[in-house]
Amino acid sequence: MKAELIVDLTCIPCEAHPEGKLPKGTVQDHPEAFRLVRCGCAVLADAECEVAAGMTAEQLTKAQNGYPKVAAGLLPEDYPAWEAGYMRGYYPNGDWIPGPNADELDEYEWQERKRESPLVFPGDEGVDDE
Amino acid sequence: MAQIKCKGTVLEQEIAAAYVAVAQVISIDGPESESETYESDTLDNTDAGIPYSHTGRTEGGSLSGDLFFDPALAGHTNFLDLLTTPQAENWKLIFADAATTEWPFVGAGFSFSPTVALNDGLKGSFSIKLSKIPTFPGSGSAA
Repeated sequence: MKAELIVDLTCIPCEAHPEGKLPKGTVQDHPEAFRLVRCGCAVLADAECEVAAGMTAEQLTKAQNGYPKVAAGLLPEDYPAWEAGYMRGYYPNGDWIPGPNADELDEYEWQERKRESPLVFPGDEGVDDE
Repeated sequence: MAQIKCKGTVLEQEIAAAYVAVAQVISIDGPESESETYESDTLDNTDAGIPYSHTGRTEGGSLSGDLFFDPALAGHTNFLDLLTTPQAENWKLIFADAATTEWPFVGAGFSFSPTVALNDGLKGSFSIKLSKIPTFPGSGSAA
């Protein structure tokens, strides 16, 4: 059963992979390769894997979109920021690694601050009444 | 010397000969490895202190943690498979330091318990019983 990796993974160093690295594009031929597909880090590479995975196209897409967040060690509270493209993980000091939409982050933070504030900001009066 | 943040720490489970990150983990404890000792006091010991010696063995302990549990998520059902089909499995704890230090270890046993509470999200607690001890970087290991 075969699955093709869509992200870089690691493995226990072996003859085929002495450095313990499985780069994106590696085809894993393994009786449980379908599990890699279910986790979102691989795509189906043969019919046997497709049957074993038993996933719809929608489920496959959802799993594939979700895995990078998991691999980055993202806390669930930061999932929305990832999905908005504001960040792509954490630096060792805990700061966010900027995402493709990081330039919009200032506005995001401002809106968050306004949402959590008990103060009414000019221009926002009556918003809740609409 | 640095103080390392915990955000970005990853627990990986070996699936189909590849390490795959576990999703939605919120805390990790351990493994609380401990070198085994025995009380080595003797009747002719005049010191009030009780002496101990090591046996030359180290208990690997367990690694436990909590996560936001998604019963339909493949990564979490992989957990449950370890209960229906117990087997030794390779794991890796990857810290969020600049060197992304790794502690690979072998898990011999596994436990999992979901937690449902009105005032919280669905969570699960897991524990992985180590076989031997993790491979600590630069120090070798019995793993």
